[in-house]
Amino acid sequence: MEDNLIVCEGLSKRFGMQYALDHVDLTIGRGRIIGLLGPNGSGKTTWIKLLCGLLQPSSGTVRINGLTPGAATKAAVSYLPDRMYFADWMVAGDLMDYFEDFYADFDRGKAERMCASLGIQKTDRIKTMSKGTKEKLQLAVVMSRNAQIYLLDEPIAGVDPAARDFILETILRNYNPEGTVIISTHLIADVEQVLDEVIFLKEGQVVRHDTVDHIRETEGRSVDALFREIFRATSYLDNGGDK
Amino acid sequence: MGKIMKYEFRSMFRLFLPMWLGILALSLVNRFTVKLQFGDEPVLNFLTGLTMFLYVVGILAVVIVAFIFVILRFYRGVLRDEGYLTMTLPVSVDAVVWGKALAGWILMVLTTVVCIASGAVLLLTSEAIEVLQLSWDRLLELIGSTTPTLIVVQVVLSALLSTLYNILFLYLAMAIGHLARKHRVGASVLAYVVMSTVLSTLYNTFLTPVILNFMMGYGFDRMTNQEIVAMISNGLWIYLAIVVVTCAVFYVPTRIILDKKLNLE
Repeated sequence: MEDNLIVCEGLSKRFGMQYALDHVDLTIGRGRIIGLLGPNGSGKTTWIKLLCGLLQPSSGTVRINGLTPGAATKAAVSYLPDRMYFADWMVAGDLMDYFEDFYADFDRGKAERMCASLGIQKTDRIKTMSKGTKEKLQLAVVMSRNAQIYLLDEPIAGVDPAARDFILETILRNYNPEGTVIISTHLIADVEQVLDEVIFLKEGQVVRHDTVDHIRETEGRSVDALFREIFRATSYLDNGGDK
Repeated sequence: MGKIMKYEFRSMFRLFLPMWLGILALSLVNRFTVKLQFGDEPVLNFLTGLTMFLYVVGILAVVIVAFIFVILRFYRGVLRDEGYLTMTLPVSVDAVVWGKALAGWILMVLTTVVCIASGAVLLLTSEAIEVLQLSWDRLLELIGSTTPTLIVVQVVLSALLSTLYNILFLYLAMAIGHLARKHRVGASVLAYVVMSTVLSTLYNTFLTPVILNFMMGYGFDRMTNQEIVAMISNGLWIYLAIVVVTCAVFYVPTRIILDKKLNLE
């Protein structure tokens, strides 16, 4: 087994002339909980999509367990996109069958228990569920895999604080401890206490990759405070300055 | 690929089994109602007309819905939000495309079979079967026994492969439309229209003259029936070969786009 789980070298992705990801070098180990932090448009989703093979790099390489993204790496990655990906004809039971058929690491018993605790029946049609229930169902099946990498794209964006707690708890209780969890978000304060490492992305570039403990030691402040400083936007003032 | 097909079938049978059974039931009802003579009874005559109308509309509807279904299962399942799941499954792009294409193909074939079967339910009486049998026997008498069977097989094979050709053609148009950054549906329609025009121009420029020359070269009046049928059979082989090659031509760029250029919104 490779020591490093994910290795990116000079990884870039261009859309037209614009770099969404600009020569990113990253090495990520196993058994970590990592925050992928940056404002909207900083390249978080692009990087995640490159890891799960939904996009191809414009240049540079990305390797998972030493392999470029393909069928073999997809079997090791459990991906929660920032949208609903259900087929509208499915009932909850179909979704379980689907995951069980395609993913060898899917723990059906766990998924069923999670659904039962959410009040979701196997015969419930996904299409008619509320948005909140759909999101929880999607999280439940994604976290019921014993994956090596969990790629969670904005799992806590756009939900109320109670749902946010539920989501974080579900992630922490269910992930495979030998695997690495990557949570992309711009809501730092909510996730800071659970993170081992953070990656700060700004305009497609990694501006910092560090452990949370090291940041607190060297900077003497929280990750949230550091984030606010790095990404502080200067507001426009009409009288000729931002001071 | 088998697993991809399994879930395509699940989604499709949920919708189409009731439709197919409905068509067969309607044809059965019509078989009896068309025989009944109600004289001047306007209400009953109206009902007879209505069941026939429903049958015809049902046939049209099931064919159109099947066609739209094939398009949407690819468009939504691969190129829209569902693609976030489909394209991150630990399977190859080939498995995804062929799984969907073959399932769509089976749907079209089964729908056609149901329509033919319903027509048989409606029309096949013992007299009709007798007429068919007599015509077949007469055909065999005229042109010998082996070639007609071969031609029937070839015609069925052509119909089957043409269906796959159409599905792969639609997939390619959608894949090309996906390359556009905006208005992808419009781009897919445009790709479809442009490719159809180019293809028909190519066929008309290169293929039709060849076929015409080929046929003009023959003195049909000097040929026996067997020779003419053998010639048609050869023509069908050429047609089948062209369809198979074009299917491959449609598939390769579709696969490359999905593998290298996928960019879900």
